[in-house]
Amino acid sequence: MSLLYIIVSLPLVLGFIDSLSYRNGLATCIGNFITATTLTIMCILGMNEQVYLLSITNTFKIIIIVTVWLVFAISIFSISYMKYDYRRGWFWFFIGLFNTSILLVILSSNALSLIMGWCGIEICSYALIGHWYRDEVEKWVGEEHVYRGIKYAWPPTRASLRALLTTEVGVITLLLACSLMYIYTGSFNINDWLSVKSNILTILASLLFIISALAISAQFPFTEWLFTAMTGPLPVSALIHSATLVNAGIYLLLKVSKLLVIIDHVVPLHYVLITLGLLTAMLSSVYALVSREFKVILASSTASYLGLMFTCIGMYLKFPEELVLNALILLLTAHALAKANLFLSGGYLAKYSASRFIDEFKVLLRFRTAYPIFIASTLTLLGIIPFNLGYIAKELMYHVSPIEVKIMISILCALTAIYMIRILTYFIRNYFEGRVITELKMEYLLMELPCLALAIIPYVSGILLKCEVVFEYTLVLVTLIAVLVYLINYKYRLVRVHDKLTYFIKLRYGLPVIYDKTIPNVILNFVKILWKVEEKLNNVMKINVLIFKMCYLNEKLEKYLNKILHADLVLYLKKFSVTLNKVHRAIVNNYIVILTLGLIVLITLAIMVM
Amino acid sequence: MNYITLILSTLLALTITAVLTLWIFRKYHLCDYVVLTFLLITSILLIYNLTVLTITLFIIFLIICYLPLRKYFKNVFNPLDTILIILAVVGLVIILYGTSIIDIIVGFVISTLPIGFLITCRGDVLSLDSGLKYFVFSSIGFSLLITGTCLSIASFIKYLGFIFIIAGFGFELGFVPFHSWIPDVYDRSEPQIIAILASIPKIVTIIALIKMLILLELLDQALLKVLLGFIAIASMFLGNIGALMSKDVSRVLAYSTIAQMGYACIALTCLEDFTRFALSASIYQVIANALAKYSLFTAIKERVGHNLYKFSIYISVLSLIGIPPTLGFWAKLWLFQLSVMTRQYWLAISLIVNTAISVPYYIRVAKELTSETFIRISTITVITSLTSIPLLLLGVTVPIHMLNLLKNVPI
Repeated sequence: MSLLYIIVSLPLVLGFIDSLSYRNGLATCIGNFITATTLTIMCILGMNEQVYLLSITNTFKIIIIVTVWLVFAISIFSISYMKYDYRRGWFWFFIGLFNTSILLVILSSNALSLIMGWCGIEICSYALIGHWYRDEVEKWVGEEHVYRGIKYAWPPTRASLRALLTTEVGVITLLLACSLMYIYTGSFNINDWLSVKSNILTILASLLFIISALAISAQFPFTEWLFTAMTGPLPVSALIHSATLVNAGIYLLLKVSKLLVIIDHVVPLHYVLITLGLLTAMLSSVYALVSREFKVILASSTASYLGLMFTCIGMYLKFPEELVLNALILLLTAHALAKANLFLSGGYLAKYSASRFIDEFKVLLRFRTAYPIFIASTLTLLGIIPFNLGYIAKELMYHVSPIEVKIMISILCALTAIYMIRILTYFIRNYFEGRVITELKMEYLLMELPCLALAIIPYVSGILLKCEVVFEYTLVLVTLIAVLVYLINYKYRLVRVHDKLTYFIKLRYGLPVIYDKTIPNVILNFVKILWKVEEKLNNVMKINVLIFKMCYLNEKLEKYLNKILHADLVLYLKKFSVTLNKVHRAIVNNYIVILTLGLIVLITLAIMVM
Repeated sequence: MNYITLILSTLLALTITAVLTLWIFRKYHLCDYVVLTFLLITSILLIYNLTVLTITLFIIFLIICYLPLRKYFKNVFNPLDTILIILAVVGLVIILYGTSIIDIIVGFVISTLPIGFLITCRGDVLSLDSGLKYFVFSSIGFSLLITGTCLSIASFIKYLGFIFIIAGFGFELGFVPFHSWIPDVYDRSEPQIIAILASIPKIVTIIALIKMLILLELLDQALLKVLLGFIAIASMFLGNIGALMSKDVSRVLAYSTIAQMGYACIALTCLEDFTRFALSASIYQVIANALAKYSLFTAIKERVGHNLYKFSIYISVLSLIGIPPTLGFWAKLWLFQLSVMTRQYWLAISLIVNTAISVPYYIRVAKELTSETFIRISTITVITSLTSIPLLLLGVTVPIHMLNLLKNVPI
């Protein structure tokens, strides 16, 4: 039994124990810690351990380390955050299951374990979005618009179902793609898939891989589920829907990137990826400008950054160089750290305000370091402080990309700056009116420490990286100008956006209508048409009469069978059982009789056989 | 943990057992050095066999589970009982490493009879009565066994010897015509004792039976399939149907033991065709039965409402029914596979039918044992929970072993 299997399955087992003992997640935290330390040591010492299903590869080393420590930090945060929750047993079980599954996705070198992990993270996502299954009104997401018969407010149960149904498309396509590759190569090992020729099967498979990556990473046709996924508890939003689960699509594409590069010579896959990524980034960034909900703004920011990462992958397919890959991984790391921390520190502040809308924040709790932490992470996300991880990542990406993408990235940076400053202004306005916590409790310490660590790490690691790329300061300039313009506009109200346009963006371009109304209607109509066709076929072939007769016969048969199985058989079994019990009731004479009879039967049997 | 450490730890355990036995024998002036020499010789000539080691370690685990109980029931148990338990292990080791028929018979007697002494430990009329029954039937079994061995060696009317050998071991295992003492004895004695009686001797006996059949070269008998198949089907049906309407939990479990031994008997019919396969299947079946029975019988006396306890009860019951991912499922799957591979479809069908019959009463047992809501933690609860862990762990590792075996066997 290899060490890797044990390490990977440890969080699940300990989470299961937590769910049974109804404690406060200590076992899961310990499991996450052990997993994190062991995997970090294995990665740093360069132990390229390989077992049948799992392996540690060089590309994924940074990703592994970031993921395990993020999970650990957020589980420490949730110890005190989820202390008084009414369903914490399940919460900890699913956190454990999630850690195991995401590690399976990252580590697996085999399609079977990849699919296992993939389904695991989806189950966790479903269960944790719908964590508050009682649907309290303050746990809903969305505002009370009604547009074309669709109410723009989703309770946790419906939101979770929405997420599951959308991401299930990804599962189906992944299964299909894996089976196609298995048909072509005859092996489930992913490394065997990377040196194939381009062919209809492999082209189809790589397209399916891209679709499943798009679905789990909430890219353009599938963006909707991420916005409503914010009904889950805060640590869930921070961990799953900003830092780890949504990156699974990128992990998948990285795993099969060599295959995609081969296919890219025939079918321009990079074009699809770059277009969809930039489209998602633009659409969700613009939505973030008008949304009023704190969590939803961060969610749309997540979607836009994922779009940038997809663009990066697209560029990697066109120019498979080390530098593009580095840019991608750095961007992923910086985004994960910053976004998780923004959710944690900002969301904790928002929890103690009266409402989930940023313009209604009334009284904010001022726990000592939350504001500095929040601002530090915001700066990481914007990437304007030199030698910060976010700064390096963005500059590196800007450096490697062609001119069209460069323009888009600068626009996106400006938009990011504006929506982040929008949150910050509301926070700062409330800061001076907030209550202050003076007493230092263990609970607050437990919440502060992970946040502090997540805020500091990008700065320290950025300095340690010593990047040697020539930087252009366009992005910083664009960001600063955008901030200035926004602030001036905020003060003097120079430009007003048209109300109808704002309303249209607030409706998310009408996309929820497609998801909640059009697609179900299409499926329903399809079923109706099928039904009608079948009815007509039946009429033509006179199957109805036959079926009626068969039903009648079947009913009769069932009646007798019912009588025999459920009345007679049970009765006789009961009688037999009672008799047996009577026979075996402490009478030695009976025993001797049974023994003798049995021996005689056996001997006669033997004689017959001989 | 690698192979060498496993072997070393077993050696260590064996030496400790030997030293303990020596000390106890000296203290009570029971200098039976024959057993000791056996033990020492066998521990030196350790065969490099993983299955054997697993079984030994597993039984030592059960005994370690038993030891805290002795403190718990101070008025019931006698310090002398330790000798009896250690004797059982000694007998097991003799059977596992023995190379002749005499070794197996001696080991069998040593390992099964001492546990019979434990039945009478409560000292009242009922337990004395059941203890006496156990002795009477065991002695009938031993005499049949010895007669049968002589007959098979003498090689005239070999089939009679075969039947007698089956009968001799069948008394201990509870094969059908020889099962009649089981419900009574299990019902009327102390559940903690029955927990041992229902687990360790079964493992020992089935290994002894298989070894005996191989040593006496009885495997090629045409009789084997028919007779053992008959016994298997009779035991399965009688055990399961008898358990359906029994009221007491321990009585239900007694009947269930008969049925489970019937399942194990299926493996014996395939010994000739797939020796390694059948051996592993029967041993896993018996181990699954032993673990589950141990935890359930221990739980009868003290029922609590703790979640872990409930979980382990359900795991044991699921394993007895045969639902994945527990060990019981894999054992049953294996038996099914075996009976299909040797074209004994009647056995396969009756196995499935019996699984269906057995579900209601197992669920009833689980419901009854977990009906308590009062939460507290005691030694017994901990032991009940501990015994269910191997059921789950083995449920993960056994399929791998199964696959490895399958690769070598042409189907």
